[in-house]
Amino acid sequence: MPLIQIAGSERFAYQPKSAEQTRKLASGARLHTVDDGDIDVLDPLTYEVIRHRLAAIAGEMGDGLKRMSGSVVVTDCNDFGATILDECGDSVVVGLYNTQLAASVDMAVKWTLENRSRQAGFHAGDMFLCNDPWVGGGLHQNDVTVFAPLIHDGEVFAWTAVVCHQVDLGGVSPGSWSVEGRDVFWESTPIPPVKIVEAGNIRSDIEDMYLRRSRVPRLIALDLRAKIGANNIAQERLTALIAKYGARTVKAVMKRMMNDAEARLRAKLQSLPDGAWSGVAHQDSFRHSDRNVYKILLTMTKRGDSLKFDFTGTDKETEGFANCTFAGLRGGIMPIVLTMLCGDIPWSPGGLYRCLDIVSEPGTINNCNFPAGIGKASVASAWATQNVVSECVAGMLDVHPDHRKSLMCVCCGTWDLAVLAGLDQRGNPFVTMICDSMAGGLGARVDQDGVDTGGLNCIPMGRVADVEINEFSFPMLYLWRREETDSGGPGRFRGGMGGSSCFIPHDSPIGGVHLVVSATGKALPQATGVSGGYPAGTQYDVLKRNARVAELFGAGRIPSTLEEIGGAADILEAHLETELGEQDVYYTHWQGGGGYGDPLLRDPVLVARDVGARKVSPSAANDVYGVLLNSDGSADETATRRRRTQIRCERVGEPVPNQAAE
Amino acid sequence: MKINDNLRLLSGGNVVCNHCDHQLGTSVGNPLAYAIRRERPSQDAGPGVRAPASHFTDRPIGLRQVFCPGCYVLLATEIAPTDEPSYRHWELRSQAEA
Repeated sequence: MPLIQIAGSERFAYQPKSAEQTRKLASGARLHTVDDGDIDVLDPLTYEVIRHRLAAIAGEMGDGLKRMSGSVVVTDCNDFGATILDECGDSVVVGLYNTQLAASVDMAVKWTLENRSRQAGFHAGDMFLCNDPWVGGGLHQNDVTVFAPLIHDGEVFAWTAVVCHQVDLGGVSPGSWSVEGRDVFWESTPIPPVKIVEAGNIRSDIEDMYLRRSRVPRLIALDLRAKIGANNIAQERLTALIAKYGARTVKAVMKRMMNDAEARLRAKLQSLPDGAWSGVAHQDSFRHSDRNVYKILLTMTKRGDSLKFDFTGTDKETEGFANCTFAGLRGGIMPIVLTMLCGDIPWSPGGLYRCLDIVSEPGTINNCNFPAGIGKASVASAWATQNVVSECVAGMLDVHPDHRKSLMCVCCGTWDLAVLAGLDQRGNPFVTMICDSMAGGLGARVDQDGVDTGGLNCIPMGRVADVEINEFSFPMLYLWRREETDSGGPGRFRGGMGGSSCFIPHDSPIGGVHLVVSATGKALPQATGVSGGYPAGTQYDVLKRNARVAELFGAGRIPSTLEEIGGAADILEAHLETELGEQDVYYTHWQGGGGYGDPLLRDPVLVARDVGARKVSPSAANDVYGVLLNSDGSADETATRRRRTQIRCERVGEPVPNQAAE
Repeated sequence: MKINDNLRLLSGGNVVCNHCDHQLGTSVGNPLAYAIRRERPSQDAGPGVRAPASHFTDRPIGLRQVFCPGCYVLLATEIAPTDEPSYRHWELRSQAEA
């Protein structure tokens, strides 16, 4: 049936408010605050000591979470966020983990302040759980946030929050990745903020309601405790900080951190020319069998010391599971603001958001209404939002002689998702998301190549689980994981290479495993280039049925190409749910980063080096870079000059001059 | 003022090629008004575009590129549905230095 907004859902479609508005709307709560005088009297030394301590506490929350979690997604891949917020829910500091997640936690806290201050109320030892992306906290239902008020002298002094990806919270498909879904009712049911911990005790009724939906409730229960533990760490550390310096001083530092971040970002924006940059991010397919292409449009206007992000013209929300809510849209903006604009500015989103104005029409694919499907939001429309924001911010920075060095072309255009489910080698039910595409290619810079398989700019501390960890944890065996030739966007400076993994089911008592594939960027690449630079390569996933891997193993050989593997190749569509049999092989190839500048301006020596290192194929060197090589692998300068002249003329349809006289 | 690797903005508002000084447009309006635009199949972008777009979508997908008419340097590249216009534009409104 068509998407029809559910009456009553407006209450959860949250738009974040200013601190003053939140204070008024949270009239049932006693909120601690300070005035400008308290901020003004801070001495610089105390400010720096407490500021760094707050950042360290956010980092410690992440460390604690990793130690307590049982999920490879958290322990090895760092797909989580940790945040400290002030009494009004403005983010003071975010850790260096998933900044998409951390940048939307403020919405959940502010909604809670507005809607839960009288009932259930805020008391020492309370914690709330939320996975409703319309409220905020995370970008899709798998992002479950646990956040807690820090009560000091009977007042809400601050909030601590931890959010991480849970591998399964129900819905039609394993991993809650319902590739055939049409709306949110095919997916995990969103949970608005509920008090999961009361006076230090887990509420078993709420926990049962939460875990009952999951295919792996024990793992989810462990992660719940890990998040509670991480909040406890932060609350203990903050309480000690208050005891040492006093509540007014600590709070004054928190406010000043946000004020400083705002002032410094405004100063940077003021130094840039006024202008407008428009871009587009495409996504191919919103669900299984969908062959359409969808667009997110952005016009980013910089005037004076502020930025306006106007998404007018973006496609209407559509059936499928790839829309995102307003939290996803914000989660697409803040990671780029942090990494490209705030490399030298404290990461205090509460202050940075004051410099930003967002214009977006509800009911569009990156600001959808309930019940549009959002199960894939974080790596679909939120990620695409991040791509187009990245492109526009890069264009703006490029005009400044110093700030241009901070720009990066679009990184790994999306997440190449593979969910495996079934029985593991120990006979236990399992579901997991393979996070190998955490090793995406970073975009090129104005003076250097993008980092090959360098990661994702939205998760600075993201990493890939070791092959051995995945093989130990799940019934799978890798044939390879490697960087892929030609996956980085060509340019004067090349985008970082993406990679691929190729694996088979292995040692499951039931033979194969269930496979959910969800990866766009197959019809067109999503990591765009800048200043003429090419986009990165496309996503490419291949399923080989009845392959000859066992035969090759028997002969003592480990195959290293798809051709060698044999079997029938099926180039997979963007979204698919299927079985991976004992004789089947799955190959998944994720995107690299976009390139910067005309590839014909790239130093031929660098191209020759790339060919030697298999980063660029000889054919791409010839056809795209116009570089011909000598027999020793070095660049042939004369032949290259002629070839480049030929390409320059041919690509604009002009006759090629006679170069024989040279 | 340098705008990017290939473009420069002159004090009068003219946008010129950074490599050959050919005028391409004006900073307000269409900075690349006089540039050459070409469209090709998306797989002409190189072997990084792995499978044909028609395998995944019914929309026409193509490689669009913009070139300087003076030196044929590549100014902009996108792979996009060719049944929709290019949405990638920019304008500068500040005074620029010579």
